[in-house]
Amino acid sequence: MSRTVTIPHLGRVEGHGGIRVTLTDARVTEVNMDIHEGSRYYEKLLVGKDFHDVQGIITRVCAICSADHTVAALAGLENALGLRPSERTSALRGLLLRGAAIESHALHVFALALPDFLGFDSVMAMAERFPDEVAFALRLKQLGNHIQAAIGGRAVHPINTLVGGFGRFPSHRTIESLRRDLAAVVDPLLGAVEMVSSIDVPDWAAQQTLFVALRPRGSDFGFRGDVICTSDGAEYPIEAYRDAVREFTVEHSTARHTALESGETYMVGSLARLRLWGDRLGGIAEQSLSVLFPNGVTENVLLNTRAQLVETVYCVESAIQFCDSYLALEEIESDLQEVEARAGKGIGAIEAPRGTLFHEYELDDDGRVVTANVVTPTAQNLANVERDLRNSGDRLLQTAAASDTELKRSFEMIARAYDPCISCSVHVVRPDR
Amino acid sequence: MAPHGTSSSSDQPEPARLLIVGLGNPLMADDGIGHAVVRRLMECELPSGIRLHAIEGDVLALAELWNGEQTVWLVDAVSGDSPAGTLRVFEHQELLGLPAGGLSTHQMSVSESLRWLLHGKPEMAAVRFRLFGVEVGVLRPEEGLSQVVKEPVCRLADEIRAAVES
Repeated sequence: MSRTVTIPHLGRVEGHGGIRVTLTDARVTEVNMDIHEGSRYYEKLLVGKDFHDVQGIITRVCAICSADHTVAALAGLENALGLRPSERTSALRGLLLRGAAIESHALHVFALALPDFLGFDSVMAMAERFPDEVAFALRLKQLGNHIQAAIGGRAVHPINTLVGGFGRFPSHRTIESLRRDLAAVVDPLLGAVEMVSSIDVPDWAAQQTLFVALRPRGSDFGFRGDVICTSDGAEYPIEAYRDAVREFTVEHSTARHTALESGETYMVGSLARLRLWGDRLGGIAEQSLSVLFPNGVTENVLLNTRAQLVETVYCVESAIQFCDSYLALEEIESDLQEVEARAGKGIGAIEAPRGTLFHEYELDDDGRVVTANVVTPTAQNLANVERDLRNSGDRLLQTAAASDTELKRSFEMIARAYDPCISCSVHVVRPDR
Repeated sequence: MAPHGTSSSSDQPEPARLLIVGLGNPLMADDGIGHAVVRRLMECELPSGIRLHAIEGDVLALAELWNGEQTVWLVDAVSGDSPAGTLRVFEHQELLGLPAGGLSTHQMSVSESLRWLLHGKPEMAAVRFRLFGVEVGVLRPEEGLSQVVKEPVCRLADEIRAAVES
């Protein structure tokens, strides 16, 4: 006998939406996860646009990851134009990414994942028992916004970030203020690490998983690199990303799915980064890794929340170090490079909060976009989410007579662990849901 | 969209008493309703003490936008069961009581965001929120509003203008 567990969440956006899991005789026989993923529209919108205008448009593909799309787009465009940003520009873009990660991880860890693990319906239900932690999460999120505003000119959809540099570098006074705010969250953040370490993570979602992440430049942990690495040892230069990451369409979704050259699905994001490069962490981030992963980084997507918390500590710690380095530099207004239009192709890749993000641009002689291609972390994770739902569903059905309500909650936990970028290019009030 | 403020002409500008924030993405057809209303209001001569802003999706960004106003009005697209173009108003309590949650932080609802804001930023506890909405007709990647919401958007802007002038 068949039945279907449905988790609707998109409603009228492009007429699609939801997770549907079909169960037949205590086995999962079909899994469909459909999301609205807006990058294809933006790719088309960019065709014919001057390279100067690209980042201001593409950043709007997402309201949460706007800084990440900006930095990836600038890297792709500068590679196409044969431009190398100054060290100061590159470092500031790194700080911008840390601000974006702090904001995004604070939201996901505290507003979505912890309520799941602690049995609350929402972050505000959790606030009744954990008022200080919920208030701190908002403060942490605001800190991420402040960093992005200081570097990018505003908290969402940065405008100070340009091809060739920054319109204006932040003043020492601004960075000093950021440093104070960063230092002030260290202790409560480490308190959150202790709290989260005491929460059990179920093991019904544990399964063999292939992880993918960029190898960070240099010898430290980080969010930028030039080589795509998989946890089974394969390596690809980012210029070969189309060989490494194969995009394909599926009937049930408007979003593209991806798999590796071998056809295997994979996971990108915090857990993948820590699995591959966690041994590069130092200081309090390394200590947090030990506290939250006492047995090492294992293959269970539900641990992604812990991985995001470790990365939050890393971002705060390394941002403080960045501030100290920046304050030792001479204060200058800008070193924005003159950019001459020319034809070329370029690829930019970064590690966004949800995983590896690729931007590719082809420009004509006048510097106008001929083609654009954006591969988001969520699109890369989709096939793996469906795999996890299928395998975890089977396991839950075989170990206990799970009710539809329990299955639905478990499926939601898996989807949420990936924190998919669902339809974030729209903002509507849904009074009936 | 750049912020827009009106204040008195005295040496010491009086603090704004009302913050109006349009939410949405103008590149997603009727999701641009909030921005369209704010843009229309910016063209009007409004009484002093009113600040106008348009932002994309993050309601929690109000934490940075808010500058002591006792009243905050939000203008947003609504996707409910009413016909496209229907004007909707949600007063403070009703707004905070709207359903919360979703599978993604990208979907944090207005109600949950506001309640989190009030919890995490106690100085905002006395703020009274109101949300003006227009039921959407089209939500897809597209510049400009659909025909069916254009007139309601103008009507809503006029109603808000009348309300602040009364």
